[in-house]
Amino acid sequence: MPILLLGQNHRTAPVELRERLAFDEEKTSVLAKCLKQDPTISEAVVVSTCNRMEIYAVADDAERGVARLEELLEQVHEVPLERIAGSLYRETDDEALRHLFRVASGLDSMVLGEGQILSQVKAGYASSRDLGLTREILHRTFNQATACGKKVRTDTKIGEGAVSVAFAAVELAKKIFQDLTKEKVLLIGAGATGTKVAHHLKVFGVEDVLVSNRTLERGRSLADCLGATLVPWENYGAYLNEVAIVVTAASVQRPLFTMETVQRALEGRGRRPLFLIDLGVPRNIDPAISKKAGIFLYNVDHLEGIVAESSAKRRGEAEKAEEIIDEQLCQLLEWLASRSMTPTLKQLRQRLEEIRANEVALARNRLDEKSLAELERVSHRIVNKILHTPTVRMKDQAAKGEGASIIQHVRHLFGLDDKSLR
Amino acid sequence: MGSIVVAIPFWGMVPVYGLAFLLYAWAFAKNDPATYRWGRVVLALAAFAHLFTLLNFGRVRGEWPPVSGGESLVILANSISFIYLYLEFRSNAHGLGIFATFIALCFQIVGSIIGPALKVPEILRGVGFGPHVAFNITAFASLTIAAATALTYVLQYRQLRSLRPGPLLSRLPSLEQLDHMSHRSTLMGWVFLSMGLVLGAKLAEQVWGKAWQWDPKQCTTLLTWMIFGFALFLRRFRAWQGGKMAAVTIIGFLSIILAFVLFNGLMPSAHHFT
Repeated sequence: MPILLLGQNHRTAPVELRERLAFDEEKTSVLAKCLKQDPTISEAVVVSTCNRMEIYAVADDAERGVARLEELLEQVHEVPLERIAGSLYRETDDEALRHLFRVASGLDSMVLGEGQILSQVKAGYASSRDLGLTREILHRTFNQATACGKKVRTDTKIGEGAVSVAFAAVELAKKIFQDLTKEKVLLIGAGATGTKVAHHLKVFGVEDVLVSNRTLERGRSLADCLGATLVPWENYGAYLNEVAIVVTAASVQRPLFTMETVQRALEGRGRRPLFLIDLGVPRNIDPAISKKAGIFLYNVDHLEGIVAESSAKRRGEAEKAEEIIDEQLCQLLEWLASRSMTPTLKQLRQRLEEIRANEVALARNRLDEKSLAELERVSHRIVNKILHTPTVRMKDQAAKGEGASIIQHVRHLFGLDDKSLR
Repeated sequence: MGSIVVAIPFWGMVPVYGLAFLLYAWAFAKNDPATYRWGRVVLALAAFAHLFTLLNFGRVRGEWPPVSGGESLVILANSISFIYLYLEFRSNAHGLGIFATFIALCFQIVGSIIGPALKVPEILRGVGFGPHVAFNITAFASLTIAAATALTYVLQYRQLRSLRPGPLLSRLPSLEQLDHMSHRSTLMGWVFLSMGLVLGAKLAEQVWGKAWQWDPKQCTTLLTWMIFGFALFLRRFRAWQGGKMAAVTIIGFLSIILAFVLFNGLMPSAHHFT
């Protein structure tokens, strides 16, 4: 039975289109209802994140399965197929599985190696399982994909290093201060990157943020947005001795902080370190300040340099990740191949069981109850022993990709397709 | 005395400390929190098992260790493990485990090579000698960790100031954590040293007839006490911390090592008992 993938992601569709095809809880259950009644598709999992929508399915026939999924997509999202068809990708079997493994490992993410996708894949599987959409094949497939994602994260450094300026700034702050929740941050200016840094710092536990902006209204709205305190633009320097981190992102022609202002402020703050993040162009902080002990001054170029370096490292690690994916995918494909033997093995067991039952029935009248029970037991054991070696060898051959010819031989030798023998 | 009772606190503990070191090294290389947890568990088991086997060894011998250089070194390994575990627990920073377990393993191996003293000199038989040496060893272990932490602080500080931090940045604790860890171990070392000095003076009075006799070991211990006492004074009353404190700790530690080598190597000492 082929495994299918129908999907759309940040590379194939803009956000306007992605949001049309996103699955929330309600839409997923509508889709589940339709899929359960559908004879073409036997299993399905929906993975829906802000950057991708993917449906993995097991169908009787690949072409019909994909066509049916497209119809359902059109129906559930009420969007004409011709509008979305160009942004959809369709894969089957090995390619569909490889895609899933790459997604779970973060290789297909917008930010290479990001770790959140693994939990999103797991959540997608869990929700589809709870809706009764999965069985043996997708259960095993998603378990293997999750294991692959975990292995990639532990055996490679694909998730290491900051991949955005804001994240790099937070990572540095975490290596200067012991506990960010106890630190105070001063944000000067309402630049987009500065706001992102302040937002990230809040996410990592900073509670006390002061905002100062030349335009009062903009400053107030930014402070409201961040849950911060607005401080007057004329007086921002006075707060330097009580904050640990200063983020400047203002558009000014002369530095906001000079050596003298910082020197004065430092007198009142003891010897605690001060982390200055200058995101302004032209620079908002006199670079000479960085010479002072205990001061860590990073400007936008430094932070972008860190980001570029870790992005390059991640790209290097992607090769190792692909090797892990190959190895994990191989295991899954072997299992799927051995699974193709199941119907033949089932029939073979049935055939031997029929023969056994017939022969036992013939002897029934000649044996007492105790002997009959013994015969039942012995004959069962004989059937099991006869079947053991062929079962193992057939599965092995299937894993080597020679399943089809073995199936043919076994069916012929035991007359499994011969109706006269039934 | 049973050979197993003697062997376990020495060579017997080497594989356990070795395993703790390997786990911390693996965790450090992979930056993996789960392996750090295993490292911590193994080190804690090693530290407690080692303490137990040392006490058992002392009980069977009838005299508490240490009474030889080998015994002092394995106790040093044990003290370093306990002190590091305490610091890791307090600061929740595990990046220094690789260094602490490496130092402990080295001391354990050298201590095992030297081995225990099966016969205890008469002069060392007494209630106070064991605790006196144990206090001094614990103090030395604390100060070793303080110096190692201070050195790591300098390394981390330089990385952050370089503006192009390398892969070590994410593996080592934050500057503030390192500063606190170094301060805590300095304080602990100084307190134990004070206790060791007081008890040593009392023992000296009993054995030599006077508490102080300008013995090289007495002098270097007092010098250590003064240097680190001064460092603590600077931190408490002059608000010294961070890089300056790290420099004082490292210089203090190096000068003590130098003084120990010079005084104890070149001058006769009344501390030779065997």
